[in-house]
Amino acid sequence: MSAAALWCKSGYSFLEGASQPDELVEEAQRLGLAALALCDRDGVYGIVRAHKRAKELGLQLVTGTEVTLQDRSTLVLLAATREGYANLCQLVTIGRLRSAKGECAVAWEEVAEHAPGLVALWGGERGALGAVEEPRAARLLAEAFGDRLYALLARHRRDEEVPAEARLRERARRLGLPLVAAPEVLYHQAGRRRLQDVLECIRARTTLSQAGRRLKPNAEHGLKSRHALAQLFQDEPAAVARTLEVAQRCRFTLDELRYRYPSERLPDGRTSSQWLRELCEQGARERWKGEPPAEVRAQLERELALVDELDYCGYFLTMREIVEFCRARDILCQGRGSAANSVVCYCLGVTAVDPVRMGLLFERFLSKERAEPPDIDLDIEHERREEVIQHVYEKYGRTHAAMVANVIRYRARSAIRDVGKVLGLQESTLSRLVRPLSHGEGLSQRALADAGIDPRSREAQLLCELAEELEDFPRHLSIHPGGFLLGHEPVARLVPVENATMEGRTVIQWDKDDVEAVGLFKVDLLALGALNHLHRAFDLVRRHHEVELSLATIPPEDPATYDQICAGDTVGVFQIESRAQMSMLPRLRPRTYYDLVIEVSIVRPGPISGGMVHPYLRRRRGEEPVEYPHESLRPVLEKTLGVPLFQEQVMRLAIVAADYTPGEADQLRRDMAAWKKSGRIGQHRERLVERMQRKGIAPEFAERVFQQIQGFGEYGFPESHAASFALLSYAGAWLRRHYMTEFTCALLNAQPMGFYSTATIVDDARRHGLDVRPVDVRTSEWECTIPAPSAVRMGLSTVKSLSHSDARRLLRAREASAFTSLADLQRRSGLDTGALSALAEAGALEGFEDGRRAALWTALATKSVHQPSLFELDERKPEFAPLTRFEEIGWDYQRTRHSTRGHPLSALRAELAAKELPDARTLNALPHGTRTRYAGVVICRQRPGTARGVTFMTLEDETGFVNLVLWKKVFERFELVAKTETFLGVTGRVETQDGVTNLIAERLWRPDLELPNKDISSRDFH
Amino acid sequence: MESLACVDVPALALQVLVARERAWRAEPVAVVDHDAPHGVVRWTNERARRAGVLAGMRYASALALCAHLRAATVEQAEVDAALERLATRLREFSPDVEPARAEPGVFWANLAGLERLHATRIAWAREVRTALARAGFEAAVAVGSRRFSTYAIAKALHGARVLVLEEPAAEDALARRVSLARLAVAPGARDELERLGVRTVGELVALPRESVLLRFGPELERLHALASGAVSAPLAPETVVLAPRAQVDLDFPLESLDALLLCADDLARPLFGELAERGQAARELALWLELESGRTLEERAQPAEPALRWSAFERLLRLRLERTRLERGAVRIAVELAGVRATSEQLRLFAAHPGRDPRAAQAAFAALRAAFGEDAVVGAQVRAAHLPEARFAWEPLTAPLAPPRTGPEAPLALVRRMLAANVQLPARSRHEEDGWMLRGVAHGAVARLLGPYLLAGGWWGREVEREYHFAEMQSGEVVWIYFDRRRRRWFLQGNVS
Repeated sequence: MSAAALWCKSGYSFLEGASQPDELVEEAQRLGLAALALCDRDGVYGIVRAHKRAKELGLQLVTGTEVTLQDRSTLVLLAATREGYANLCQLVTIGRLRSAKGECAVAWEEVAEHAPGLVALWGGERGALGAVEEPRAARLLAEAFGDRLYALLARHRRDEEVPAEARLRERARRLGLPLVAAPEVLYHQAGRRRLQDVLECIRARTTLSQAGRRLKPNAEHGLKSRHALAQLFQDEPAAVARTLEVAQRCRFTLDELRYRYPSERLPDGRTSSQWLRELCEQGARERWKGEPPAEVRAQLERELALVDELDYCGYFLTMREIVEFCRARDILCQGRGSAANSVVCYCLGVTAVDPVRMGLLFERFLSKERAEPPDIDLDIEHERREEVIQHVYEKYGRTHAAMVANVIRYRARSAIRDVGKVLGLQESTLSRLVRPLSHGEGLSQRALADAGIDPRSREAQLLCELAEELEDFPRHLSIHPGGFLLGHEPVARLVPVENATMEGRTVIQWDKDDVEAVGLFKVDLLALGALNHLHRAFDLVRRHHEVELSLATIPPEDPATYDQICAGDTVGVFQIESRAQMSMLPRLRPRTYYDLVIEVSIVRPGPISGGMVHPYLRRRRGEEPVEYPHESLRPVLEKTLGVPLFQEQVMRLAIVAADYTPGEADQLRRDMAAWKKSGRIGQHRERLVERMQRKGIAPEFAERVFQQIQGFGEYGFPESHAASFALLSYAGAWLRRHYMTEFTCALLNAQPMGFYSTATIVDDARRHGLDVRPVDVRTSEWECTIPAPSAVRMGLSTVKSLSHSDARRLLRAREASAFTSLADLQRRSGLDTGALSALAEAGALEGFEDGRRAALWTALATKSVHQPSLFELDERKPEFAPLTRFEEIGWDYQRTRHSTRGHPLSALRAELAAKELPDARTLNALPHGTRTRYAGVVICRQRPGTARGVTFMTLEDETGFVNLVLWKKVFERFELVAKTETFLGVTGRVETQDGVTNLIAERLWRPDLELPNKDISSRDFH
Repeated sequence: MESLACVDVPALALQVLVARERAWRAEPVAVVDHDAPHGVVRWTNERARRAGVLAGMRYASALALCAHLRAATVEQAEVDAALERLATRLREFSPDVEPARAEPGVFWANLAGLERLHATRIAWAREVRTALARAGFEAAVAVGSRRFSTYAIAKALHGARVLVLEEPAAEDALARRVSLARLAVAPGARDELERLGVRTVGELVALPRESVLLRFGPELERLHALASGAVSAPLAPETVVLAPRAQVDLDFPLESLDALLLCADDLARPLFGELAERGQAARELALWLELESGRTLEERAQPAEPALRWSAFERLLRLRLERTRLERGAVRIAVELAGVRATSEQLRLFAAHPGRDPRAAQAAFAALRAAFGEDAVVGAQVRAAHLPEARFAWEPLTAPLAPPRTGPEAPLALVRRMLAANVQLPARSRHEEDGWMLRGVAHGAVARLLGPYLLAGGWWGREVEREYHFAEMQSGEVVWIYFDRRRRRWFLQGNVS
């Protein structure tokens, strides 16, 4: 006789269960169980993963949860029907939404109200049926559930269970409840008991030696075979047999979720299909200024037919509605990712790239075989994304919209840290241990020894084993940056909803992969700083030049813009401003929009690891012939000179060369992305290579293609994604070339953008001839402004310690009338000492006082409660030494993180020259191979995973940038200086290739000079 | 002209740490406020500073810079103890020693009248520095005639040497050159002054005093006034408050217990009055008997509650002394009282239960402690553990007894009575023709066995795996036994009644 495990909790019970859902399912199958019920605590977080695996193995999976009552007792609920599942989700939602994040509490009455379609198992350690006190809700539950209420016998070979079971049996007899055997399962095999103890300690924030009775007393919470279950309940065989009865009753599966996308309000009784078609037609006429080309028409028809067939019209209409909302509110947005492969998206205005002209692959976006919902990511200017999110909530209602979760999992470092704490290791020891570890790197003997832990000790052994086991386990639930789940019916009938940490946000219990796996639609609203920057620049151009610009109207293919791009002069230009991109630009020399698409894609781990960069560059420069392995592949690889650079090309390659269907090719793409984790890419190898050979493609090439595909697994851009981003890159570059002042001012106001600091942007602008003026309370606004052509006035927002509300008070007072003195400013604005001191130190009060020190002395006088106003101040003013230029720049950096008066090194240039240290401009002009010394300010440190330990740094002085390359050995030798020094000296050799100059470091040193300020920030190891 | 010295023991907490962790002397060392990544570095030694570790950094950041950094916290009690040691040592060189309350590690000492003891003032200073170095502390000593100047100069010396200034004018001039960063100026004020270009004592003094008050508050204004000489603070040596103590040398050796106690009573009575004047009561009475043989006998008595009467101690002392054999008579008797703040009335316990007298219980406990030692009275403290023997611990009973529980009586149930130590049972025979005679023939064979109930844990340290059973013997006795899987032995844990 078989049996079912009816009370299993996985790692998705967050720090309780010690097995992954698929491990439980696999073990249940191996043990010959008929069914497994996954009942994670107060949720269904792990059910999708379990469902997928159970479906693959043919095991019955029962969907359930262990719900926590307000009296902290628990009840196991199993979904018998779709209605029951909806009730379960709604009940958990009620309990979750009324509780703090991470907690849940439902009332007995609420359980009874949601009883239809649910089976309840009552018992267990925290179940009220076996408790000492008589359960008050017994009758209520018995009436609500009827014969679907069971008394749960949970035996874990603990002596205290004996009296509890006696009470439970007695009450079950009185209530007429059948007994069902269901030990609590917390891990699939007893070997995971140690991890379960560790998780329990992490949850309780204690150590193993201190945990005491918080830990389970034995290892009896593993999944039991039917024989073991029969043995455990040999006195109650009927209770074991009844597990099958319960499983039989619970036939609901996630496949029954019939999701309907919320329908838009459609005009004049049109169907959503008709309305989508109309909008596409209308969009197409606007895009192509009349009837679109036949090729486009055909593609449009094909897409519309598929969208209609798959019943996805509502989704597209929603995306269009959101885009229209953004347009109406003047919020810049643009679809990214695979949506750019769709002509429907292009016609609806969701994306800005013509997929037909670009020859993009629609199947990358949507395919019938895949039967998965499309995924449209919409980039929105980041300062205004919240408006759009709130619009979605308002339009669909809080009940029909919730954000998608992001499950935060243990990575190597966090696992080592938490396991170490649980083992009682000192936090400082753990810091020493994990700090040197790179991302994903495990523990080594050396790392342990360096941290002062004996690698041979039992402690070290446990730390290594348990940290490895803990890796990838869910830690807690977070929120996806912008993913929304919208539902025709309340979302809480599909999946429980709970509070997010951020006020006003609710989040579902599934992450994006789960949502995708069960065929639900997700709307991604992502924040993009670059759009904010461009929007601000367009506004400034309109204000100062009366020129109306938009992403669509920027003149295309401007040679002057490309000249600037080819020179690597791209500070602040989206996607092509990084050190690596700047180095690539003079090599690739983009002259067209499509070159930019390639530029954006080529500096990625995928092409770099796949060894595609250099072949492409050589072919582009004509140093290597453009060859195709087979004539049939020419159309696929022609635009990238025979070298696959995009995901779509790999898919097409599989279609053309190995007869993959578009759907299979998309699966290949997915497997590429996950090959390291799943190893599924291996399944494709034989198929690809064999089929290519059959087509007459040489085996070496077939193998090479496969290696390239595997390389893509590291991460390659889809062409459509790169195409969308390249549009923004071009727009930014064009603005930089033609409206440098507005571009710079907008860039400064859009900070922080994450790449270059305000100081670097200001220095770059000054090098380009802009007159960047310092902050001045008499003229500065909150943001940076353009007071004259080719001039930027820095805004009050750059002054540290000056709040926006202080600045508003100051600006309001100034609006009434200009300030006549510092005392007048203080009296009318009411600014306190902190704000006035900040302004004084920033040099913003120099219009009133003779020097910053005098202004600061005056500002400090407002500190005393007896002297709230400078008006009545009558005292002898001491003489203060004027600031040197060196000090002035230092003060600027301390108070505003930049200086318009000069670069910190400009004040030291004479001394640097005396030490025969060249400036950046001179160094970049040195012949290849020259050995030299250089000193500059570090603005960026990077150590990409693809660079095999090489560290790249960008140094800066008043004349420009110097690219520094540190081989692994050099970095290790000078690690402390390399990591910590802001002002860095380098001895090395100049290497110039294709117009790009690098300084290959041999030695690093601290210059024997003091910078005016050491607080200059660099962007490190991002 | 005054003659005084300022002794500065810089970074006292760091010095305490290095003294505690002697193996760290050659390592980069830091004192942190918490031994955790977010802890803040408070002090660093030169090696740590050379590695880039500075005060104010997070511990995690410091570790990132210096992987071999040794760091730990230093408790205030350790610093206080060090201060006490330093003050004691300095009092060997001057009777008037004033520790700076606001700046632990700084002391002033009056040198007036010490000329006959020390050849020169510099010799005095060197001796002080050497003595402190022997005690494990590095210190700077500045000798002069002005309190502020010696302080500023000592801080500027930074624990490196001694300096004696004979001319007051030179002393003042030198003090004015001292950087404000060396003095105990609040970091905020120091930074603001630095920004104004005011970096030395002299530059501070050049500012108008009232303007300093307006901008930087009374603390800095006082510093300004002290530095400019506008005000002076006389030396305020610390008076050592000693515990009340009295002793008497006896004319002839006393052996009789009654006589000894009578004598002690005479000595103690005025001490109680002295303590009462301080608003204190005696929590402990220490009695020393110096015997004719040269041996000194020490006994300490602690009553149930602090007291101001001899009778509270007499019985306890008598109990202790009765246990002690005096080989010779006592020739000297000394008595010392340790006081605590007296409360108006001691807490009344067990008020709700007239059948018990908490005072009597406490007195009985005190007597037991006196007779059998401090650890004689213990209570069971419940522990959250799984193993029966780990579920409680006997701990000295310090808190008053809890009042008895009220409410309905719990229903009668089986009670497991644990043995003080588990008893190993004979190995079970493979062939038990008459059944399992685990308690011997007298109890008969096991009639019924319930279990197993499993206890397994401690895998991170000492792993335990036990299978518990309740065995009912043919005699009717129920025993609580387990099979230790790791040792493969049966044990008797206790009985069930």
